[in-house]
Amino acid sequence: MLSKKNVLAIMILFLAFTFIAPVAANAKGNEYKQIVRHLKTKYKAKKVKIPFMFLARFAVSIVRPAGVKSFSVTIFEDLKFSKETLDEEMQAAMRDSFGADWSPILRIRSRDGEQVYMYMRDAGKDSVKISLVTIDKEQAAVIRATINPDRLAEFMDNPKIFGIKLDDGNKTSETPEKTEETKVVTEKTEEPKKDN
Amino acid sequence: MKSFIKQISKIALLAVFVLLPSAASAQDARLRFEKLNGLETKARDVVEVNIEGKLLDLARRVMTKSKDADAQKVSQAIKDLKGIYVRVYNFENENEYNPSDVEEIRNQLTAPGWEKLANVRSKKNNQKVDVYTMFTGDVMSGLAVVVSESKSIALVNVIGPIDIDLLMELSGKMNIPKIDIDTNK
Repeated sequence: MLSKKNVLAIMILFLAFTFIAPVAANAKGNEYKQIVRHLKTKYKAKKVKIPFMFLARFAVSIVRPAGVKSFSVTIFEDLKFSKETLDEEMQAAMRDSFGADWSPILRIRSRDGEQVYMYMRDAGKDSVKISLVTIDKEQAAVIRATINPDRLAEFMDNPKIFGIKLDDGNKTSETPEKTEETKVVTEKTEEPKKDN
Repeated sequence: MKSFIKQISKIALLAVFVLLPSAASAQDARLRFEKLNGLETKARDVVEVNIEGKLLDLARRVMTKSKDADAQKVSQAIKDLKGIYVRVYNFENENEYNPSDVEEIRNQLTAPGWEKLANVRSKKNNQKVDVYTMFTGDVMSGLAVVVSESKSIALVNVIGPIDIDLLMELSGKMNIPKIDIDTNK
């Protein structure tokens, strides 16, 4: 039989998981929106409209070029910030927005007002999420993309979309030569095997 | 119930004693850059790169899948790497940073395990370059490069086994800088 204390503990745990967990997950799940909001409210940034963006996003979600499953881009202009405090404020905003599952990969800070912040995290199902925030003088861009590394590797080997090759066809002649070399080596190594 | 708790505690203690030394040795080659945080406000430009875990995995996966022979070699070279950390601080004027900040990093490299591979001292720009390596047996398990000049500091810390021969073979290819080392004895 469960004691009153145990029942109370179970109820508290249940309440915690029901109400607190989704809030916590939500707080860390909207990194992109939080950073966009930070730029908008803190620096009075004006959002630049990108025509046909929705169409581009839809096309990418269908075609998935270079392994890019989805992406979002928000561009701002007329940012009003203090060069002295910008990096500190941005670092704090990034820390608050990105949870522990995100890894900070790159940070560039220049006194001229140029800032770059890049974060990355595992997105399951062979995918990774990459978030990039760049601020240059009075402009800023927030970019988020979900990439399939295996598809990216395939694209790097054979860059084509809808069967249309994107490289200039001048792919280094090194590879075939090397394969010939390796063929010769393997043939040589195979010879003694035949003797045996 | 008490004996069960005792058993669990014994297992936990054993796990701590078994796992702690291995975790510590894996972290040996990692330099503590936190001491340089004070330079952030003084520097004109700051570059911070942390490549570890997931990103290294991603690079490995991309390179392994590639059919390019050099990419395959890069994948081989980074297959056991644990992390690459870079810090660059550029200053507006000379002597804007305290040399003791960099000395603190150099002092970390006097710890057992680190060996000085090369050092360069030049009066021009008061340049000091130090290259340190850490070996675990015959395998290089860490690399540190400390470059300080009158107006800049650059630190590179690589953790994990590094195949120098493979790195030499790849130098000048795939955006890897050309390394000219005379291998003739």
